[in-house]
Amino acid sequence: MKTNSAIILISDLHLMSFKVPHTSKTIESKIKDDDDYIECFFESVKKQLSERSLNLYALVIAGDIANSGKTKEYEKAKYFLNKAIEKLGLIKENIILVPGNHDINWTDIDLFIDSPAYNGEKKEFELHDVKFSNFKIFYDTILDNKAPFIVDSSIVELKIDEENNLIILALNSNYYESNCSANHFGFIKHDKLRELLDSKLKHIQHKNYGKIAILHHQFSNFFDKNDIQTLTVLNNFGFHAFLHGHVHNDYSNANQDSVLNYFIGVGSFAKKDQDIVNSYKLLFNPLKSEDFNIVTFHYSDLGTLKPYWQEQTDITAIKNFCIKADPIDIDKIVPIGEKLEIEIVNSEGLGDSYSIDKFLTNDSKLFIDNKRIILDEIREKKLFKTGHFHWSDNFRSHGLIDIYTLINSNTTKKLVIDLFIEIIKVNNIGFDSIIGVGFEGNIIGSQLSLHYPNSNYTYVPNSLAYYNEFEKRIKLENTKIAIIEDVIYKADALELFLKDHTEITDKIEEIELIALFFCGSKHELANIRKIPKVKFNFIFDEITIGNCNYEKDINECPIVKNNLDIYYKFH
Amino acid sequence: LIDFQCEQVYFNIENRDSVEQNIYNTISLTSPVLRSVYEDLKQQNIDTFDTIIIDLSSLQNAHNLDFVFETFFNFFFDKNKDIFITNVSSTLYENLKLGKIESKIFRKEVVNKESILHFSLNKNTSILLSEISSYKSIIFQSLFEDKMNSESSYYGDKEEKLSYSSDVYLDKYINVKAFIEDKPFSHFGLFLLAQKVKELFIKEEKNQYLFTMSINGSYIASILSKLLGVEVSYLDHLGPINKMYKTKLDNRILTGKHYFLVSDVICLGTETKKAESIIQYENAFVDGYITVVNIKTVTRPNNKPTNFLFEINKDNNYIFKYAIRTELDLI
Repeated sequence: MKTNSAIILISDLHLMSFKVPHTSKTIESKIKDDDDYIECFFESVKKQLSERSLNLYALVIAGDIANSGKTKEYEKAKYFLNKAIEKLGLIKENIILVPGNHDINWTDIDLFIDSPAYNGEKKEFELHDVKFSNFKIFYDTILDNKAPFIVDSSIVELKIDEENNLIILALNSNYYESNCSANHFGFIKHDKLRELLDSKLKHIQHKNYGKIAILHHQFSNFFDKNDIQTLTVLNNFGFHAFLHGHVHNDYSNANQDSVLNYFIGVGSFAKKDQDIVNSYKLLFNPLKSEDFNIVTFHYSDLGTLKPYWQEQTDITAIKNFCIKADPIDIDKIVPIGEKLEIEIVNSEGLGDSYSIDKFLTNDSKLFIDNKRIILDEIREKKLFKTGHFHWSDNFRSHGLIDIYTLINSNTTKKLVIDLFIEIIKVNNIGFDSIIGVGFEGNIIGSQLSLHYPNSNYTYVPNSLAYYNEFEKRIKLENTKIAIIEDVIYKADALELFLKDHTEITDKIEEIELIALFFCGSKHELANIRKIPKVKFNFIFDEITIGNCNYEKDINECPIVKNNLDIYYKFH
Repeated sequence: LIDFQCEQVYFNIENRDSVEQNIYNTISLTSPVLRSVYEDLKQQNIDTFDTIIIDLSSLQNAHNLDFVFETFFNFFFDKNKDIFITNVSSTLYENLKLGKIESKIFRKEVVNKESILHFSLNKNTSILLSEISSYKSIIFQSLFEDKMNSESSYYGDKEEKLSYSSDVYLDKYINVKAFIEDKPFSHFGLFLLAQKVKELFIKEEKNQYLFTMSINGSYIASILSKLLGVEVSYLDHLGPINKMYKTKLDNRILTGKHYFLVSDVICLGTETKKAESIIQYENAFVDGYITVVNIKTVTRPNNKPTNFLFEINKDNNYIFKYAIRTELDLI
């Protein structure tokens, strides 16, 4: 992108006066019949552009233009945008609009549902035509040179600017939003998004373009795991800068999880509320084409001075961001040292506890996507360790998967839990109690049990030697149990565990063991199968980790003797 | 006692929890929650109690629930129960159309200027409305006392009485695992504990973590982390075995981070001190302690904040008869 370009980011205009349903509360917008407020804004923008010698590249509005998706509100919005075009010298191509949840026509949904035309087949949120009826008219009229707004699509616009090497993606995150408060969260159809980006950004040169995505909801307000799924798709195509509104504050942050992402929020531009500071953001790139600075302006009308937009210097949010980042090579999902084909789950029948056939529904994609993210995480954070790991007197492995770090982050912990939920569903695993084994098994199991309110939950330590009777003891009245483990290597460890817990084996009719990883050999798997009463379910069984065969004396092991690798003594 | 915020929070966790979101942000009562509580109550034998307290604290609104709520409410009224509805915000009052039952309201109290209301719906009650809000913790305390007394056994011989972490003899083992295994009860308890500690976690501050070092603690920390949207770190085997591993593999405690230590029981504080010194050695900070049971052995001023669900102290130890002894005492 050319240097000295500027983007103005505003959001949450909340035009105009709005009576909150079922209350006596009314919310007003600062954009009223007189033009004082918007004139003050245009003056401020012009002054900032001129002082910094910037050219206005785009005006971005991140949703909630209206308050309740009414025609009257959009009339005002049209007036505001036409003024912006006139005063700021904008062209329509460079106005980027996305809808917010307040751009949904709530009243018409109610009316439609009460009308004879409604046959009850669709849920409220699925009435996309009704939801966006007025927004669509507004969008298609004011931006008449762009492709029409598609009501049920998650993509509003994909603007590829070949001249400036810039790609702007405008998203509609309101798929589930409706007049129903239970559906109040963001959602993007990530599959469709992946398809679109796959087809449109296939040219090699697109990899080097700067990329910005705009959406209304911030990712933490997304439905379930859709935030991670959408972010994964966007990250894979090189989008790392996200502009959003919705939350009415200026909080922006740079999040370095496995990749560096910039989340740039802006406060409400015009909602009149004593608890809200009205703001806009100026994003500009004075130095290098891919680096943007961020400056926030707050509207100030205190005291006797003429109202003005004040530059904020003491905001602790991020002050710059980069719109160009190396896209992740999505083929590189392999942990260190081993080439794995994770698309084919258990093709060789190693662990026929589940098979690929069961995942041919939509769930399969989700399951495989989530597995892919976990493997990505293992690779990025280098959680697959090689070395000599001494677990007990009779078991040493030559590798380790650091489950601690995997479940330490709430984001990946949630994916792990989801994988357990998924395998329980697909393998049709029934249980009335869950037992978490060890610290990791306990953390996974305790959170998993939240999803099964009718099942009991308890836990046991991995090794009983150091715990007292109260901690070792399990109180069980049920007959079908699910045992949650993080990693299984060998059959004998499992046999020992069951031997130690006769209270389980005596009473229980059926044990379903669910492990995140099975890392043993085929030989071990055969041994495991011989254990009576126990059924096995492994989420990952693609990674086989070798064992140290020098069981009697560790010093005989050539790795230890010749100091070939690090020796971790856990036992 | 029906705590609708607790029901709503756990419903959110079960159904559509967002990553790293503080579950306490929930302010709306939704219809599936109201319905599931109603369906559940219909299954239960409610003849054994006379009074029902419906607590709506922290919930601020509800949409299109007035009809369901009325059914719910009439269910108790038909069975001639005393009903109290507490902590009703003015928005919720409107949303649930409580005006409809105005004629049945015997007493109405406005607690503060935010129009938090309590309703009493039976004339014969002797309960003071102002007392109702404290009932939640009183009910929990008394159930917890019963649980601990029935599940915490006395030790047998001298060897068994020796504490795992300190050089003292203990007469009794506080069996927090028994509390945890009673899932609905422990969820309610941990919800109350989360309510107590939530202010410790500053919004948008990404540098605060829970830290635990025992298997009981890992369960407590795991549920709290879910409720509060904070992350958990742990060191295995620190607690009962006086031994832990820390190799160069571990990069579990990170410089500059702030930790709250989570444990099942704090008695003499040996384990927490051990964990604290490890954390401090890594140039990180311990900002406070969170525990299910705190045994107040001494009064120490200027200590770091200890947040507990239940405390055994000199005033209530006559119930538990908890004692810490040495060879110097008569055992």
